[in-house]
Amino acid sequence: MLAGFAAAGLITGVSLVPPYLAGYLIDKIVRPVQDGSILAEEALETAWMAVAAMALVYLVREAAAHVRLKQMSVLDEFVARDLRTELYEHLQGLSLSFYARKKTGGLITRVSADTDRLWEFLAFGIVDVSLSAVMLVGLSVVLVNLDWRLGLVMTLPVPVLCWSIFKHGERMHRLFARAWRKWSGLTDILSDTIPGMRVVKAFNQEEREKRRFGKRNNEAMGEFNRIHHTWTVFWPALMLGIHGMTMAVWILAVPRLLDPPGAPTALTAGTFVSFLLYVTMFVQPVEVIGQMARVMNRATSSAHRVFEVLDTEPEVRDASRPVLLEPVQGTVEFDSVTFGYDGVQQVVKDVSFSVKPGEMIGLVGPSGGGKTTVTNLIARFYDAVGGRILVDGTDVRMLDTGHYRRQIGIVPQDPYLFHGSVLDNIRYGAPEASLEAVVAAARAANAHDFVCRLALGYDTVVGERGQTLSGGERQRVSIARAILHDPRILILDEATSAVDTETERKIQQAIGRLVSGRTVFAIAHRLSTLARADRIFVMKSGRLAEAGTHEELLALENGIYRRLYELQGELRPTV
Amino acid sequence: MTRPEIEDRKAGAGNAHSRDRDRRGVALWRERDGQLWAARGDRRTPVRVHRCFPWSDPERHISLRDHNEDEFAYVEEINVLNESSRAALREALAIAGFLFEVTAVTEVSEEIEIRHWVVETRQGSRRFQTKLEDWPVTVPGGGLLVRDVGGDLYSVPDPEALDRTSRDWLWAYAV
Repeated sequence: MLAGFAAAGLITGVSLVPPYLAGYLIDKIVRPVQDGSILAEEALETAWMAVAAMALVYLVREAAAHVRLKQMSVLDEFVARDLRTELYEHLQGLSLSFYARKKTGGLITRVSADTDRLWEFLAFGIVDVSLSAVMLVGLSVVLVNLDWRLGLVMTLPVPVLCWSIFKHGERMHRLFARAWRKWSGLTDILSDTIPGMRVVKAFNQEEREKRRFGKRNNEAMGEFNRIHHTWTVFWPALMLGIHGMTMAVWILAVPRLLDPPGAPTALTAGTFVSFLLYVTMFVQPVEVIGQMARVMNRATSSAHRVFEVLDTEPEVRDASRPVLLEPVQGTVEFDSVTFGYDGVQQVVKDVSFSVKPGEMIGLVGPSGGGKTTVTNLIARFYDAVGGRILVDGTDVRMLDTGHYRRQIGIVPQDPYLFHGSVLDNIRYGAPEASLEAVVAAARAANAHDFVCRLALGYDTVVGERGQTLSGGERQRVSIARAILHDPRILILDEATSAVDTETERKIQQAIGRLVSGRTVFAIAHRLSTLARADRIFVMKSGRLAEAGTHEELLALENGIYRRLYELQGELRPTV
Repeated sequence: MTRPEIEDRKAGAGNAHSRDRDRRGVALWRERDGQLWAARGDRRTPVRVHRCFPWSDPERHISLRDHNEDEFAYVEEINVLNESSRAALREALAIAGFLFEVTAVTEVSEEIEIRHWVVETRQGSRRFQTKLEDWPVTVPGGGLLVRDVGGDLYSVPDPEALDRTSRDWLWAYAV
């Protein structure tokens, strides 16, 4: 960084030399030779030295430019990489509640585009702006030294120029904040509709989505055009002001150039040429500062968005001295647990139960009853706001979360497969697993047969979210992943919903192999899928309404479970 | 008469091969028509070979599929088969899926959606195409595998062992 700044400083310094040499050549060599005060032969040697000095200056300048560009570019690539890494690592640590609040498109923009804009500013913005400011001061001193009358014409308006650039920057900042908000709205539509394209097509909503995208696209374009309108008006106006100052210099200089030599106000041609060359250089730093105001405002808006994420603290945090359960035995106890996602509405209310290692618990009840929330709390995706959750007798808030979650397996209702091969997806929780172990897990999950029928077998890339596989196939890959992961506590969230009978049979077979010897919480709407459950918990309105074996719950007069069982029995013949 | 029985009768010549059967597993042989047959226990059937890990481990984990596409046998290690079965399986694998070993990369060029490759292989010069978004895959051991639009596989077992020009071509696309 220092080398880059030093090189940039050197460039600024040596850039002031050529105009001085040009004036020196005219006033001290060319004119005296022309009026015969010195001999051409004597003058030539000095002239060559001046030209050689100029060549040396250009050589030093470009060498310094090379050092500066290389140092700053490389350094800033490192900065950008570290920023992206820090942002992504921070995102990995944030709680699920954060992702529930933020939209995917906006987060992707922060990791990619916003860090890029920061890089652009860091790479060239900071150095260019600081050196341009130094150059302006240096030039002002040189101009006043050369000719104080003309020098003041050029330097006195500089504070006004700086003020106008500052005010312009303030306006641009507001415009960019607005434009990026609109841009995020646009990317939100992309991240929303592209993964849900099946639903869009199924409901024939392509035209509506086109209109929605078109509207936000127009809004984004409108905001960026507003930015372009503002800076394209400001910039020529600023340059017109500078050219006005140059014209004032000419108006004041012309009569003095015509004054007889020796007159008190006479201006030599060499001094004026030097002056004009410096005036030309005067435009460049103003231009850089003017342009950089725009870049800086983009970067400030981006920095605000990046640091908003970095400053967000995860809601689920490890204790200062976390406990490692090695291994987890599988006892799970809820002690008067209460929880709400928004801190206002409670979705789990004063729930207490105790589950022994290896026990399989069926969670049933009406939608919105709190079944999924109970499993989210067991996996410690959220912390209870009241009561305690104990695993093997230890409060989950005291556990090392990463270590604890490695011993938990989840087979969700809609399994998420990453864009990668079937092999990568099965090995997701155990990347070092051998191919033999992968095949064994896939066999246990009833997945091996269909996987081997794919053109590239386990190396088949399943596409984003596993779209190239059927729902049942995705589910079996997900079960194979859970089997390979070998968890002590297993959560099954409606694993056989929305599949045909034959697929359900295969998945149930696979689940039968998977649940053996583990503590299992299985959410189910179809009670027939809970044949293996040791006990069944009925959740209703956030409370544990009933708990017991299938027979015990059926024996309850007016029981919720009994009612559900009877309802499904009534439905069965009609299906 | 069931399909396997028909297959067994047709495979009269295959009986001789049961002597070579590995007691623990499967015996394989090719009939005169080139069809690969497999026998396990009392059952024998024509089979089709399928690599389960064509990129990650193309020489192991072979699924032998019957006419219903059901898995008849699974060969985890070719080397555990007896010599004649091993030879038959290798021949069937060579026929089932072309796996060219690339010895040099002559040229790689791109059009709008397609990347054209010109390579030298142990089987001679080849030209093939891949989709632009289909990049060569690095396999365990550091080799590369390229799958063309027709599904043929091109293997570069050791990219570093190629000549400088080939390495230069691959550098942009694979290494």
